[in-house]
Amino acid sequence: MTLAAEDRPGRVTAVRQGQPPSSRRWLTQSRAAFSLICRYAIAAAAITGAWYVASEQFDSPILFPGPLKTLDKAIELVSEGRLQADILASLQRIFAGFLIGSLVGSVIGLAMGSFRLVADVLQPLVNFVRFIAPIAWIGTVMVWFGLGEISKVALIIYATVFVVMLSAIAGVASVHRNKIRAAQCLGSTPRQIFVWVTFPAALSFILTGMRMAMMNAFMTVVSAEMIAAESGLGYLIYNSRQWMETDAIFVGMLTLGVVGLLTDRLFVLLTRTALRRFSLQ
Amino acid sequence: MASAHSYISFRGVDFQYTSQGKGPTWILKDLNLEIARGEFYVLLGPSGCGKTTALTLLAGFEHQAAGAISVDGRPVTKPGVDRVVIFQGDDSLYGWLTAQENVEFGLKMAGMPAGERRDKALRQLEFVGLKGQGHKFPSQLSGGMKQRIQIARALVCDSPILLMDEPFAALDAQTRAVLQDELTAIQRKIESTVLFITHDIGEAIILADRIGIMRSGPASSLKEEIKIDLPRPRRRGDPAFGALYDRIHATLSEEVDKVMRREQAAA
Repeated sequence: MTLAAEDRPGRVTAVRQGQPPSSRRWLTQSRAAFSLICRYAIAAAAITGAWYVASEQFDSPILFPGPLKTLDKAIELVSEGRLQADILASLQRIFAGFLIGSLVGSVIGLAMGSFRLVADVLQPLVNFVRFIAPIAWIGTVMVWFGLGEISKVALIIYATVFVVMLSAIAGVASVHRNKIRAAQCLGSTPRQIFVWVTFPAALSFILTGMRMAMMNAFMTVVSAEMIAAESGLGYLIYNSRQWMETDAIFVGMLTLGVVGLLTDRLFVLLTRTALRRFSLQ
Repeated sequence: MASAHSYISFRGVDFQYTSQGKGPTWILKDLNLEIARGEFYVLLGPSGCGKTTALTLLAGFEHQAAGAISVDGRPVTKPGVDRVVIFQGDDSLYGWLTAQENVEFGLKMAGMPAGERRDKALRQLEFVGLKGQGHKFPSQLSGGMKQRIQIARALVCDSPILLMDEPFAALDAQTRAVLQDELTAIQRKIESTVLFITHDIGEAIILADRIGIMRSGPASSLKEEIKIDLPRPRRRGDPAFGALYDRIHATLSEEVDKVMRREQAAA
């Protein structure tokens, strides 16, 4: 048996083929990267320019601080060490909530996708509760869990768990019947099918869900830090409101956006490298 | 009824689907089929006639409403490694595993140590013409190569029966012809029993020891069986091939006409 004429390679999505990049390819790649950076820079400059022009329309910088005033405030907050501390505090809450929420969401979602009984019992509850915003729970959470870290993390868990759960359910539903059937006739037990087929096949859905959950976590940390917090970007935003420090509010908002963006990029990078094979069909 | 033809047997098999609002539809009604050990049996029929359903029942994925299906005297109750299925298309391959890992799947489930598994998989990949392709993912391979992975994945388990559900239907004509020839060669080497489903008359004649032609559905069953005695490898240009083709085509056309008349009456 030989390699026949039909063996033309299909859609090659190889990044992992281990061929050393030729100098030509390197040149093309770096040119593409340069052009991308240029486009980002132009966009950022345009937005900052528009921001500047808009802020000039107001009589007082307190009503709408411009980019320079915001930068001044950011430098001030960094030199005091406050901004770094706030970023760290918020990130800790976000990651703790995100990781626990994603884990719990995946487990429950996989169970709901795999077992009819679990789905029937939990579906009504989940479909009902997921429409209640995290901020609506603040009072209850404070009564239940107190004013410490647990309350804040609990709120972020709440904000992440349903997204991941729903994507895990969709992931299980998306597993092609023939993948399961093939595993059955290759001698797999139901447990093996779950571990070696259903879970890896659903993983790309779960990862997409986690990416959305990460966004929710960043959005919810502001609400969470309304609960008697003494640090965090949400705290910075919320607390500055009381002193009309709109520039500090802007610094907090921009930092959330930037840190969120970087975290998202990092997550995508991780899933495209270490977990790349699970997004292959 | 225990004749020479009774390694795989379908006796009086009925199967029905119940779709919502339409009530039950009989797919198979009184299907009787006997396949001998080592035989290459092709089930041929118009689309929707229930030939894939017959394979699905033998695989143990679904259960008949009435009748008995047995392999070597034992009734089929659930899927098993003695009846590995090769599916149409590539949906059954595991996209997150390399070609080699796909081939190793059954061995891994059986608890074979990694080294031994690897050696067997590599040998099998070479056997189906995928030497040096083991590290690639299915999405990096052509349709024909993906079907070779499926074949290797089944063969590596030393399954005595291969159930092939239109495995080449989604491939282009040239690739299909190449794989048909290779399958003939493989089957003579490994001597397993094959149930092969197709709607392609030429493919049936190229491959089969015996062809079972099914009636058009619903409530389908076997209409006629034809033994193919042509020497292998078979060529489509052969006059004997042409004569067989015409004969089967005439039989099959009656069934297709029935479907068309029924559809016209319904319209």
